[in-house]
Amino acid sequence: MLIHTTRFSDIDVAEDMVMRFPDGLIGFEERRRFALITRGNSPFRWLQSLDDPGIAFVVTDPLMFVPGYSVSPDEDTVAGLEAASPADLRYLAIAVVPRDPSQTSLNLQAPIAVNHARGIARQIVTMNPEHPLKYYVFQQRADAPKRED
Amino acid sequence: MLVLTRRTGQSIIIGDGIEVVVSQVKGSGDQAQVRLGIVAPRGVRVLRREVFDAIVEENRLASAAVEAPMEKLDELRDRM
Repeated sequence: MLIHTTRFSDIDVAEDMVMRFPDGLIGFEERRRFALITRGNSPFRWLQSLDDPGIAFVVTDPLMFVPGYSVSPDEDTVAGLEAASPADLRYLAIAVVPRDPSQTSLNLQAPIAVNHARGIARQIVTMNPEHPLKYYVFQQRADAPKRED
Repeated sequence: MLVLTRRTGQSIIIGDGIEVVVSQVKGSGDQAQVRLGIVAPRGVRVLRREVFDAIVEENRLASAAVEAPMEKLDELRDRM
C-alpha cells in the first residue's frame, strides 16, 4: 500500500504494519489509521498517520530501555483490542524528541497497547507511579537508584 | 454549563450508561473535597482533567516528530 508522508514522501507500507486506532490517540481522536514503520535495526520506529501526512510520532518498545516495564491492562482494554488475553498485547512508548535529542523522553504513563495479530491499537493510561509521563531515556545512569523509596 | 446540586449518595446519569455518584463530601471553602464514584461503559475513558491535559500536551509535543534527528537518537542509544 502506497502512503503519502511529509517526511518520506511516498513510501510503500506492508498492510500488516497498518494499525487501526478506533479512538485515535489522546488529543488526536480524528486520526484513526497509522503505519508502523521500522528503520533497519533501530529501536526507534515511526508511527505515521495515514490520514494526515504531517503527523508522525517516534515510538519505541519500552522494554528496550526499561527492563521489566509492564502494564496491567483491564479487561475492557483487552476486549476492546480484540485480544483473548493480556499476553496478546505489546506496548509502544511515544517519544518526545526536543531540539537537544539527549533530552528525549518516553511517555511511560500513556503507552500504546497493540494487538499486532488484529492490527488494532489504543493509547492507554496507567496509574503506576513508576511509569512517568516523561522518562528521560538518555539521562539514566547505571549507578543511579532505580527509584526513590 | 449545567450545574446540579446533589447530596452524598445521590447521582446523575449522563447519556447511555454513565453514572456519577457523590460518595463523600468533606471540608469546606477552598479545602472542600468531593469523592466521586463513576460507572461508565466499556471503552469510555475516565481521567482526572489534569492527567488528561498533560497527556494531550505530551502527544502534541511528540506529534511534531517529522523533524526528529533519528540518526542522532540511534547514536545516543548505541552509547548507552
